[in-house]
Amino acid sequence: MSVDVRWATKPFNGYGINSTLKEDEELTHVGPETPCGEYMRRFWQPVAMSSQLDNQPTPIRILGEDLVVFRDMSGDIGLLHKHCAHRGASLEFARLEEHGLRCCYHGWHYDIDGTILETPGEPEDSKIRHKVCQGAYPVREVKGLIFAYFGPPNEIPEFPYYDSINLSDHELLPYSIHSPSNWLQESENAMDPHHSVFLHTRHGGSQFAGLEHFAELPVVVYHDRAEGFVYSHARRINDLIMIRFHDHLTPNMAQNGAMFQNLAKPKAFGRMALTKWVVPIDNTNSRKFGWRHFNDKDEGLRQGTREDIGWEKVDFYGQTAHRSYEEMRSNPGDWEAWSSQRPIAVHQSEYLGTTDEGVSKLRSKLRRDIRAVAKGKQIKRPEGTPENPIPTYAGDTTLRIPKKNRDDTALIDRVQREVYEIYESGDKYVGADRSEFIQREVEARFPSS
Amino acid sequence: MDSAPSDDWHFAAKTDCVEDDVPTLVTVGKFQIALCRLGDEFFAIDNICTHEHACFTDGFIDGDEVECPLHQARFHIPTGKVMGAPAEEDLRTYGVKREGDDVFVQVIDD
Repeated sequence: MSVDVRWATKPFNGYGINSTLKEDEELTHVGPETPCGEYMRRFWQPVAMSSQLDNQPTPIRILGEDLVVFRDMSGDIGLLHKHCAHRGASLEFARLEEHGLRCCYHGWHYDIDGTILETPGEPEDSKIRHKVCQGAYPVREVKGLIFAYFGPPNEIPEFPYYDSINLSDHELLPYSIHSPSNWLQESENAMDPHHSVFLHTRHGGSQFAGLEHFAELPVVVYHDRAEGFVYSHARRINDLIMIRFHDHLTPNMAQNGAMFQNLAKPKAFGRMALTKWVVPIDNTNSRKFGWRHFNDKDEGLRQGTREDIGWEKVDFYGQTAHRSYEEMRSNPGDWEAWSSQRPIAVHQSEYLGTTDEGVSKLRSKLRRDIRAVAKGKQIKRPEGTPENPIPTYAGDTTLRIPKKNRDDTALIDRVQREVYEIYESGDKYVGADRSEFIQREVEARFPSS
Repeated sequence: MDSAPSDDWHFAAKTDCVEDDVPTLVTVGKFQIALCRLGDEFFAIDNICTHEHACFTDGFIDGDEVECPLHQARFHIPTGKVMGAPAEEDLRTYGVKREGDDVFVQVIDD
């Protein structure tokens, strides 16, 4: 009989800990008709890279659904349920047509929206094609990624256009990486700035060039927003306070500051290195889709390598399974951390501490939003157009602010809040106007000389 | 309630600013209070869990209980009683009154 003991509370007491604790189903199960699955289906999700599309439909699995994605002969992209509505044969074996595809088994021909265009084996007056559709989802192709909306058609939002999709001096390269673990684990990693101190720096040496200062414990400030969170973590290095902002838009989109950067001198409103989504394949597998941003201004060290970005690869340490076990053991990276928390982490068995404030905030917000959707309530979703994109905040600001004769932690905390307020006050501007406004205001408030 | 000195009562929030799925933070001096709405009724409890340092304003309300975001300890909102481990100590509660659209909490600094 199991005993409800979630943690050992004495030394040499591994015996007797409850081994029957279950995963947090409400936040981790994503199939159709699950609470979290219903919630995630309210948002546009990336599902494939454009480079995956060739002259045959590509089978994919997203949110526990088996699908095929393809570009038909006229160039339109379709996303259909994998099993043919007729007899269930997989449409991965279908032939691409001028419009849509044709099942290999009995030749049923579907358009990209699932409409049946032809049932060639049926009599000419057959009404079948007017009665049935193949399951289909609307898609949008943006900079090498294909996004889809899986939710109720009457609740479809406009595709949310982020400012980071079109920054004048940024080149966006798409990439995608699989993890054999629940989506929430990698997503939580992006809400946890404290792991950078240990996993990325102190444990096996600094993993990211230009981010060696991560070895210092940060002062962290979280800002709740209706669509998720912005948080910053800051550290003092001599006379400089280095502030790194992150976006975390629920459920699963995140952005962070530059890689391979030179932060040793003051700068204001640097922008992001990554825009990424952790998309559930099913309950125990996830796939990150994102863009790696290249720009010479923020990535001063210029060590990023474009050819190392794409399917199952990105150009910084510890992100994929495609490394030796020896390397993983001697210097584990992000991938080892989130993948090894079990296929689905068991939240009840975890003992969270102060470093986990972001994780607990994220879980609470997800739970509230999941329950709101289950009750039929509207939740706040990001809204933006190419003309008026959603303002995001991720990136780095470094200020020259010497230590004063008082609590430095309080100073670092306050400075971050003030910088965030300046960032936020720039929301009324777009593009270069916004960057210039924020940079000017930061310089006015914290002169670099 | 009638005998309480009037300076024990502090304005907490407008009723329509208090959501029903998450407590609202009210700070009175050194006191951090979680103002909770259950239907049309308002209750006030300490915002910090008695188990580890965590804020209920980062957690959520489920029925008439609040769940701690760190270790899922549960407390009965109207009485502050522990309803679920790992917490063992009850929460302090505070008096609440409504005057029109204003909610007040009673904080007696003992």
